[in-house]
Formats: sequence, structure tokens, C-alpha cells
Amino acid sequence: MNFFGYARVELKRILSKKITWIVMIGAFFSPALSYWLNQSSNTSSTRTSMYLLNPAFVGAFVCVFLFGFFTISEFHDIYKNQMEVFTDAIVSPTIFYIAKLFVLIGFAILAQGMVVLLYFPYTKMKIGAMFRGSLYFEVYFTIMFPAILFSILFAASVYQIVRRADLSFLLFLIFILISFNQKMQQNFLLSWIKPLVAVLSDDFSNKRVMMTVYYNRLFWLCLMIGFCLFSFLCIRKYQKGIIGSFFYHIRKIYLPVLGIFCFILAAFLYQKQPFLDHSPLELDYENHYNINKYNQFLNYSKITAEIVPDVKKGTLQGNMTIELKNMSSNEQRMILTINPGYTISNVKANGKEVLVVDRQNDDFNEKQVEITLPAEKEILLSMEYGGFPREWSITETFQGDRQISSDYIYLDNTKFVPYIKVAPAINYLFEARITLPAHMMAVSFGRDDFVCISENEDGTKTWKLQQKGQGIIFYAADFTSEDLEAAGIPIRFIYSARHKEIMDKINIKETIKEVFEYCDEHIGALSFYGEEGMKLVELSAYSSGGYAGDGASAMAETCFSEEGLTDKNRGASGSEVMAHEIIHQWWGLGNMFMETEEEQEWSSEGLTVYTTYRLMKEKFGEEYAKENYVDLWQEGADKLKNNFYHRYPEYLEKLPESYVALIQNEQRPILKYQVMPLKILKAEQLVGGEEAMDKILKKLFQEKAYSYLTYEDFLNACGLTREDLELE
Amino acid sequence: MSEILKYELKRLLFHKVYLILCAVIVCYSWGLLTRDVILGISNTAPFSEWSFGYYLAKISPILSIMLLFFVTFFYSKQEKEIKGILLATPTSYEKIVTIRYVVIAIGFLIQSGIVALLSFIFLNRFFGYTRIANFIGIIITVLLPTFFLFMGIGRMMGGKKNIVIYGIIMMVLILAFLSLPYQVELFGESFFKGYPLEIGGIEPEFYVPMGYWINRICYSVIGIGLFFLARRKEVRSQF
Ligand SMILES: [Zn+2]
Repeated sequence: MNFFGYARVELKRILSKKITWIVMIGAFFSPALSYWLNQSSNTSSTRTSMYLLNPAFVGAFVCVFLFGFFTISEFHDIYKNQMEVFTDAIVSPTIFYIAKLFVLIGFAILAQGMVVLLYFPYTKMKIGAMFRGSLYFEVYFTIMFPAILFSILFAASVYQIVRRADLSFLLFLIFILISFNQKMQQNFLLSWIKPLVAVLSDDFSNKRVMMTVYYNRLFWLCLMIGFCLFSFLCIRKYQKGIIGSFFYHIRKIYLPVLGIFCFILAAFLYQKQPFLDHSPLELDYENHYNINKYNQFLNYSKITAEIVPDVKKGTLQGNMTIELKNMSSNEQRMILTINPGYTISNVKANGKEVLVVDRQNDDFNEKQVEITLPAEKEILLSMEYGGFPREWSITETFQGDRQISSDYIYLDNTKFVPYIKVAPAINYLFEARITLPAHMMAVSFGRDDFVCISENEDGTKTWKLQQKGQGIIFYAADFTSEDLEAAGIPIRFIYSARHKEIMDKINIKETIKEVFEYCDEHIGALSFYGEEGMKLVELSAYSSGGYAGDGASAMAETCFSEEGLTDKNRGASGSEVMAHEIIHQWWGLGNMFMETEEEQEWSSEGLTVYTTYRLMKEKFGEEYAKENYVDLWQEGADKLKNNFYHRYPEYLEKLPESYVALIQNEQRPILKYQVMPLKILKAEQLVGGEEAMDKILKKLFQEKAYSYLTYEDFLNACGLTREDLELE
Repeated sequence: MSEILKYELKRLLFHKVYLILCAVIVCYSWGLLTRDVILGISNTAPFSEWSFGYYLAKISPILSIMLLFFVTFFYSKQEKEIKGILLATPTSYEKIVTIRYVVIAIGFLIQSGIVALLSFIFLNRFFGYTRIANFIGIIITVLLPTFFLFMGIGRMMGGKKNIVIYGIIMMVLILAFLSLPYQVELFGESFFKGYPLEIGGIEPEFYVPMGYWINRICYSVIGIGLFFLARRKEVRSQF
């Protein structure tokens, strides 16, 4: 009997069994489990995450068990019933094994196909206008299906090697258990059941994170095929044992060769992954700031960069020229920091090639390149740079933020332009030009704006930015921009065109105005905006929360979700995160905060959280504010107070260092975001109420503009001592 | 009688599956102790009764799976053949079965002993804690009811295909992932984690509410009931 004939017989046999149908039905309902598990769906997630990513994860998880179990029981069924002798005579065991594998994989495809087709309408309805069909298929076929495939391959191979149902079942369970080990789960290459996709964006591209999923799948496919080929060597032959069969099969030399090739390929993929840099996970700030000393004999007067991103490959190519002055009469070495994924080439000083050393010393998501400059007074340094931007190793579990794709580009600092460790001359200028697909709009995070300078024939546009200083955070996407004014400040609100419908529906402009007017009235006028006003930028969900800077605030799309902004009863999220980020323009920018070891709780977050609470209290009433702010702070403070190590610090000293760091990292945010606001609230009660507190804050805001605001200052302004504010 | 017991015990304890499971349990226990328990469960000390109970509750699904594997081992085809041989000897069937279950119980006891020993080593090394006697009551309330239940289920399903037992193992795993309220949960995770928070305050005294007692007693009774029901069935099928 040939392969196809046998496959047909197998198919018929499997279809007639009850367990087949149980597995199929289980597989079909598995993604729906996530709807039931996630009933308390949080507003800080995107719709695509809730209705597409989570179902695919839960489906993968359940189906890994179902199909692994099904595979073992299927193989066992044949061998247990002594069909071996009988099948060996009419079909070779190898062909039988392959046919069996194909039939099982065929079933997996069938189950997956059913899921994909029948969940489509519901998912589309739930995600609404932001639904993207291509992403839907991509997610199911790269996250859920490969997990099932690997489970089948693993289970079948293990069974073929040990030939015992109980042992293979046990080994399968152990493999699953190991896969749920923390270390495996936080490694983007090793986590095969639940790939490291933290979130999927509704409004922007998910290309970068999906690239890691493809890479993960390729890596595991190599491993599993290698393992499966190895199991082919163990197919029992002529009633021989495992050793005998092994030596019989190994004569077919292509089997072990192919298997080993697969393993080598997997090892190569693991070693050479292009997504993360090799920065050490322990952060040595002191070393980081000392190592990057500026060369005092040099200064620059102009930097020009021309950048062309390749949105298909996710890479970037750039040219940079620097006008330098060498104030010594010797050769000088200049340090340049750049993203570890990039390479620098064709470096010329006044037209002559110079010595370039790439130190490959990744740290803080940068590496250093050392350039030796000639002993000439005026130097025009030119170079080419480019590559695939690597993300920082510490963000392994939350990849996908910085990316270059056809509908979203987000690059900051050395991912955009190399940073030279040279001080500027008295008159200096930084100029960047970038060529983008026509539908994209270029935005920089800062006061200065990109201006479109030409529309090119190939359907691209070139944008130009001129600013002082090198630091730059760059975004480009299918943005829409709207101008509004709040509390006398002109605001340019820049957000994804895909989100426009929802922005209008939730009346976002009113919400923004409210926040500005409240702060203007209760804290004071923001003075450091010129004519150009400030920018509010919507970012992809990968930048969880947001950040504020000079002249701009950027917030993740989750801050503008319909669920978060329309439902008053939901927890402190959505619009409130947005308010928080805007309020940072008052606390944290105008007034600076220095974080010290002794007073970890005092940071810009304390006053920002407190002000957010006051705003929400005015808007939604006392009860809401108590429930969503004060009670939560109290909860955090209690949790900290009750913590065993907080109560008995002497035990902390007994622990190994890594545990101490673990415990302290857990406590730090509670101190900043919950304990401090609670103390400020206590201060408010002690100084005589909200109005009195507003007066104090107003005064502090004015007096301490452009200087550091310490906890001491705050206490003095309130006329209180540290002890007064201790929480009982 | 003791000869057979010794022989059976040796066969079980040096069985491949048992040894692999031992290794898994040791690794898992140590990971649990040095990652979760070390932080102190629900704000209690890492050496509190709550933390210890939580640790046992997290291990107990794996111990239950091990128990079910023992039972399948007992009923597997190879074993049935040996049963045939044993039947030829004068020892009665009833006695052999009793010995088998005694063997399983000993295997379980040894494994639980290893789990407890690991935690004692951990508590002593990291916290210099020595008052181990405090924990014996917890070991009994957490592990004994699940032991009874899975012995019962195992014997009930033992005559059936192994596939059924594997199905039950998967159910155990799924049960372990769901967090049910402590009155109905099987392993005790919700109780040891949630109840100290419910009591509130700093380092709440260890206290077992009626609901949890009833839970433990119910599972024990169901287990013992199933066990003897299965026995009656088996005896009947003998004749
Ligand atoms: Zn903040």
C-alpha cells in the first residue's frame, strides 16, 4: 500500500473515533474560553489584544494539551493493539509514521481553519473600525497553529522514541511544565506556547512584534523537525529493539545529517537573533555616565543627517555630515554612540578615510564607535550608517515599541541619528531630512517641527527638521493633526487617522481642555511655551502609559480608548492616564525632581497623582475619587506596611542579593505612586483643606520653576515635618 | 506477605516514571520556595503557616498526578499478566490488592516527605527556622483529602483504559489553573493565599474556618466512598 492509500485508511479510522470529535470540539471552543476568563476586561488594553490576541493565546494553550494527548493516544492505539506485525507486512513503518503524522497535522489544520472562519465575524464586530483582516489571519496562523503543530511533533517523536504511552505522556507534561518556567516564558525565542506579544496595537502597525513571532516559530520549527527526524531513527524495525532499529536506520545517512543540520540552524538562529542588543541586564548608571566623556578639544557647529527608512524590511539607511573644529594641533579621538543594530561605514574626514573602531560594547541600548580625526583645524566628517534597530535587552518581554513599518515609525535618539560626544560651538544647528511614504506624517517630540519640503516623483515626501541639539525622538504615521486652545496655550493634537471616529465620539478635545483649565486655575499658568504652544501625540499601545517632555506630551493609544473615556464607573484608567500625562507638564517639567536613595518616594509622580485625583474629584464627585484614588493608595500603603520584609528589615539582610533587588523593585512604585499621594493628602488635611493646599502648590510652582523641588521644600511650604506626614 | 510487599515496593520505587516524577517534584518545589514562598504569601512571613500551606497546595496537583500514574501502573497490561501469576500462588487476590494500595500509599508518603523536607531545609537555611512541628497539621489537612480522593478516583477508573486516567490528569491540571473559592477548591491555594487577607491585620494568626474543614472532610469522604465502591465492584467481578 502506498503513502496516499495508507493516509486514506488512517483518515477513515480516525474519523470513526469518538476522541477525534471530542478533540475537534474542544479545539473549536478553546479561543472562546478567553472571553469567559477575561470578563473583568481592563480598559488599559487594546481591543485587538482583548478580542484577537487573548483568544489566540488561550486557544494555543488548550490545544497544545488536546493535540499532544490526542497524538499520543492515537499512536498508542495502533501499537498497543499489536497492529505492528500486521501493518509492517503491508506498509513500511516509516511510511506509516509519516502518514500518521500528516493525518494528525491535517486535523490540526482543519480545527484551526474552523476556528479562523467561525470566529471571524464576532472578532470583526468587537474590534470595530480598527479591525484588520490580515492581522487576524496572521495572529491565528503564527500564534495558535504553530503551537499545535509543535505539540503534535513533540508528542509523536517522544512516543516513537520511548514507545510507551505513560512515559511519553509524562515526558510531554514535563515539557509543558518546563515551558511554563519563568525563564522560558520571558525569553522571546524559547516561549513557544505563548510567544512574547505583550499587546497588539489597534491604531498602529504591529509589524515589529510579529517579526519576533515569525522568528520564534522558525526557531522552534527547526528544533522540532530536528527532533522528529531523530525519532525516525527509532522507528522499530523487524521486531528489533530501539538500539537495533537505530543502527538499521542510521544507514540512511540523510536522516541524521538533516536532523543535525536542523539543530545547527536552530542554534544559529538563537545566537544571531537581530532583535535585541547585548546590553547587560544590570544597569550600572555610574559607569554609563562616566564612560561617555566629551572630548574637550572638539566642538561642532553643524550636523546634517539624511535618512531613508526601508519600511518593508524595517531598516534604515542614513548619511551624516558633521562640521567640526579641532582646537588642538593633534589627532583627536571622537566617540560616537549608536544603536547596536546599526553599522557605520564610509567614514571620511575632509574626503580622506579615517580609522574607525566599533567597540561593540552594548550598554543602555547603545554601543560606542571610536573615530580618529586628523590634526586639522576644520574638519568635515561624513559617514553612512544604517541597519535594523535593535531594542534594549531589558525590554525583552515588551518588544515592538521602536519600529520601522509602512504605517508607523518610532525611533529615538541613537536609533535615529548617531550621537556624537562633542560639545556644540556657540552657533550650532542640527538638521535632519527624512524621506517617507506619502501617507505618513513626520513628527518630532519637542518644540521644533518637521516641515514637508518636497513631494518626490516616486510617491514619497521629504521632511526637514532644524533644531538646537542632537537629541531627537521621531515618530511617523498616518497621523491627523488638529489645533485647539486650552487655558491660553495653543495645542497641536496629533493622533492616528484610524482613531478619528472614536476621538470625535468621546469628545476628546473637551477632555483635554478640562485638564488644562483645571491645572491653570489651581496650580498656575505654564509659562515656558512660546508662540508655538505644545504638542500632544498619540503613540502605539507598546509605549504603555506615556511620557512628557519639553513642549510635548506623548500618550499611548490606550489613553484614548472609548471604553476608558465614556464609562465613568470604570477604574482609574483611560482618560485618567491621559490627564496624568498632561499634568506632568506642571509637575516634573516646570518643576524638577531629583530622585535620591534616601527619599525614594519623593518624585514628580506624587504631586501628579495627587493633582489627577483632585481633578477627578471635581469632575466625578467625592465618592468616585475616594474609591478610585484614596482607597487604592491606602491599599498600597497597607500592602507595604504589612509586608514581611518591611516589618522585619533584618531578614532582608539575610537574603541573597538578587532577592533583595526583587523585593525592592516591587516596593518602589508603591512608594512613588501610592504612599506619596497619601502623604500629600494628609498634608492637605493638616494645612486646612483643599484651598489652602492649592495656595501652597501655586506658590511652590512659581517659586521653584526651573529649579529643583525637594521634599524639604514641600514640607517647609506646608509648615510641617516629616514626622507629621508619617502614615500610621 | 512482607516478601510480596518488599518486592512490590522495590518495583514501584525504582520504576522509571516514579524516578522522573521525583526529579520533577524536587525541581518544582525548590523553584516554588525560592521564587514565591520567599516573598511571604499574602504579607505573612515566609515561615508562617499560611506560606507553608500555600507551598503544599501548589505542589499537591503534581502529587495527585503522581498518584494517578501509580494507579495506571497498577492496572497496565503488563501488570495484569503478573497478576495472573500471582493469582496462581496461594495468596488471595484481596490481599494482593491491599498490598498494592499500601505500596502506593508508601510511595506517596515518601514523596510528601521529600517535599516537606525540602521546605524545612529552605526555611532553616534562609531564615534559621526550626519549629517544624507547627506544620504537621497543615500537611495532613492539605494532602490527606486529595490523597483519598485520587486513590478513590484512581481505583474507580483503574479498570478502564489508561486514556481515561490521562483525561483525569488533564482535568487536575486545569483545576489547578482555575482559582475557585476556598469552600470548593480542591488543592487549597485560594484558602492559604486569600484567607489571611480576608482576616486582615498584620501577620494574622493561623485559623481554619468551618468552610474549609467541611471542604476537606467532603473530599475525604467522597474519596473513601469511591474507593470502597470500586472495591465492591472489583470483588463482585471476581466471581
Ligand atoms: Zn507619571
